[in-house]
Order: sequence, then structure tokens, then C-alpha cells
Amino acid sequence: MKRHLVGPVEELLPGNRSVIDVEGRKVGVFRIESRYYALSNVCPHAGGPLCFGDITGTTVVGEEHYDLEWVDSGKILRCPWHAWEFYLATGQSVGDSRMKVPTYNVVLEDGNIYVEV
Amino acid sequence: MSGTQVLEQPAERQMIEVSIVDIDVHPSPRSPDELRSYVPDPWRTTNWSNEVFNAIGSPVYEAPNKAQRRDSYSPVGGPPCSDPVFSAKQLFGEAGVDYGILIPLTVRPTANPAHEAAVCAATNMWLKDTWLSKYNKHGRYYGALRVSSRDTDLAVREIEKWAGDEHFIEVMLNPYTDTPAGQSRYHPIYELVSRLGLPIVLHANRSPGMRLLSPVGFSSYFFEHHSLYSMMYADHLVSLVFEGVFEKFPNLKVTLVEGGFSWVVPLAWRMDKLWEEIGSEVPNVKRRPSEYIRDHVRLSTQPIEEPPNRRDLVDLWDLMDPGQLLMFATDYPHWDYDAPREIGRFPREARQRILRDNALDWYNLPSTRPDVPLA
Ligand code: FES
Repeated sequence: MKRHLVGPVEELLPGNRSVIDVEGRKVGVFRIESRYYALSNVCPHAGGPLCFGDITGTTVVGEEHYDLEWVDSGKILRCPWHAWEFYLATGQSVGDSRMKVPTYNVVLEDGNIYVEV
Repeated sequence: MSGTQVLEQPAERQMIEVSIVDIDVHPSPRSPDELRSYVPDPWRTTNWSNEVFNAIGSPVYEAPNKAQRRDSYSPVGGPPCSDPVFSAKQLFGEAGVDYGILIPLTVRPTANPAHEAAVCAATNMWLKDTWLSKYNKHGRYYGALRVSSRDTDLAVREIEKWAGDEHFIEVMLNPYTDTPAGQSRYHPIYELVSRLGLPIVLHANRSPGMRLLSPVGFSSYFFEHHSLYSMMYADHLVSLVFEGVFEKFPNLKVTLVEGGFSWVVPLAWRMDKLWEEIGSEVPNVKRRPSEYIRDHVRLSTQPIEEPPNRRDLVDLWDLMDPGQLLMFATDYPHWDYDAPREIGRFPREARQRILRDNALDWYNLPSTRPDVPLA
């Protein structure tokens, strides 16, 4: 595993992302509120550029038939192509437990963001 | 001749072998006003809302990702597939498409057939001016002509107006109709397009209101509506076959785009069986329904079907040759886009026909194109 510079912390504002090239591999680094995440940019479904998708939440059922709840707002990345959803923190697919996107450690040091790939 | 030097020809554009034809691309005007300026009066100055031109947004069913690939917005702004430079980068560059057939979804069915026909006329003029001319220096775009499905005379007039145009290579009928596609009111359209050698294309273009009604009522969710697209196409296909349309118009070709495809196999079994056993109800039908389908109908691969066991798709299609019936489509820039690599699901020997040969034959397109730089 190697550490790669993403850039200075102040250049990645909260709510933003940066998709960088790490030795030929595209990695998306996100800053959502106070947390940082890094995921592979390749969607495991059909290869879409996952890290260009919207940050969103998802829907779960409540007690009654039309009783829907909106949960995990801001914790989910939705693929820009066919809208598959993945947890930013784990890369786990929301809909298909067998699907997972590789995730990477993000390290902050001396005012810089690094990703470990 | 020995010893004679052949003089070099003046530098000619190099020709490239076409390898991918995409039969479903959806260009947009940069703004509703861009299209509005082409609408003939009285419809232009009467104050119609922009919703009339809205390709896919709907207050009734909302598709995921606002129905667009979220990465298809150009940095210069405007809706997806309105900036020819950015779209060329994604479609020709990233996806590797050689030809794109443009199907503008800028005409929703409206209550008044004359109004609908006016928006069709505007769409055709706009498409011709922009994507088929100004943006088409490379010659890689062709288009579908929009006509109103609701008034045959107006449709015929619009087709006649463009007859012989090199870029309009098929005629679109909106499948959200109140009359199945085989019935006689459409026959003058079929007569004309068969004579001109233009296929008819059916492509979903939703409208709010009654046409969203399924045979059993209104669905609650977009996914229900989307899953049922194929039913609408099946209705029209059954009608075309059993009304004897392909017997009456032996040159008629019909392309079904974005309705899925695997459903056609069991449907054809059922149609064949009925016809073989008790065909007397439909004496106009002289051949097995599946033969008409094979000879007169093509389906787009998009949205690709994804059975959990990939092999199932191939097995199903062994029964009806996929290499013959299917044509590749991306549906760019929409959310249910398919990249060309999806065609890897089909048997090796069918792939080139799906990606290229079938569409070149169907639309009579050149198999090589000049190597023109994109921008
Ligand atoms: S490629 Fe990401 S959902 Fe299909």
C-alpha cells in the first residue's frame, strides 16, 4: 500500500469531491461534513464513473404499506448511470449484499489529504 | 507498366471501418426557447409551457437520477446532450460509437393533434439545422423524423416534406397512442414510408395523463411503469402482425427501441400457435407470426436484460437468433445507458451483427466513414 497526495485540505471543501488518478486507477476522495471517504471510481455494476454520482440517502419501509422512511442521508453514493447505491464508508452496495466497491484509507497530515492505495 | 511510378493521389480523407452503430441517442435543445423559435404559429406565440418540449421529466413518474446520466452534463451548461462537443467526447470518444441515430424526445403527445404536429415540425427543422448539419461536420449523426401518431394526414404531410433528405433515416411514431399500430388509420403512413424505404421506429415518449394508464389502472411507482414498457411495445407488435400489415406492406420495417427484447420470444410462440391452429380469424396473415417478426422487426438491446445467470439470456436467444433481431443502443444520455461492452453478454458470433451489421443493413448506412477529427 502506498500513500498518494490528493491535495491541500483547504482545496477540498465540505460537500465536495476530487477524482484523482493513482497509478492508472481512478479514485474518488470525498469530504462530506467532517468526514473523508475514498472509493474506486469504477462502478461494479457496469463500469460507470461511480464517484461522479450524487450523495444521497435511501428509503426503507416502516410499519404500514405506504409508510416509507428516508434514512442515511448524506451517507450514500448513487452511481451516475443506473443509480445503484453504495455506502460511502464501506463501499457496500445498499441493494445487493454481494456487491462492494473498493474503499481506501484517507489520511490527513500537515494540512494535506493523502489516500492509501 | 514495369518501371512506371504510380503518382500519389491527392491526399484523401482516410476512411475508417464502422464498428459500432448506436440506434438510440437523445439530443436536447440548449433551452426550450431554442426549439420554440422553430414552432410555427399560432402555436409559438400562444403561450404554451415549456413542459410541452420536456423530454422525460414528469410530475407522474420520476426516473432515477432525474432520468439522466449524472456525468452527462457539459461544463458549458445546458441539459445533457445539448452540447455537441461534450456529447461527442462521451459518445464517440469514451463509448467508441461510430454512428449515432438521434431520436429527439421533444414532442410529448398533446391533446390537440395539430399542436403535436407543429411541435414535430419544429423538432425536425431544429434537428436538421443543428445536430444533423451544424454539429454534423463529421457525418456521424442520422436522425428519426418526428410525426404525430394522432393525425395521419398531418403525419403524411410531414414525411413528404422531408422525403429524400439524406439525414432522416426513419420515422418515429410515439407508441403512447389510443389505437394499436396495426390498424388501418396508420396505413397511409406505412404505405409512404415503405415506398421511401424508411423504417418506422417506436420509442417511448411519455406524456402526463391517461396514456400512462396500464390495462389494470395507474401504477404507483416509476419502476412499475418502466418494467411495463415492453407491454406497450408488445401490444403494437401483435397488432401489426395480426392486422396483416406486413403482408399489405411487404417492405415495411419496424424498429422497437427501448422496450426490452426477451419478451418477444414467448410472445411469438403464442402468436405462432394461435395462427397455426386457428388462423381463420386473420386471413390476411399468410405466414407464421415469428417469420414476419424476423423479416420486418428489429429491437434495441437497451435496456439490456440482466438475468442473474448470464447464460439464460443466451439460451433464450438460441431459440430466436439474436444476431438477426437485435441492434445495439446506448440510450445516451439517459440514466439507463448501456455501454457497448454489454454486448459481450451475447454469443461471440452475434456480437458484430448486433453492434454494427444489422443497423448498417436496416438503415442502409455506409460501412466506412471519413476520419474527421471531432473538434
Ligand atoms: S454502472 Fe453504476 S449502476 Fe450501472
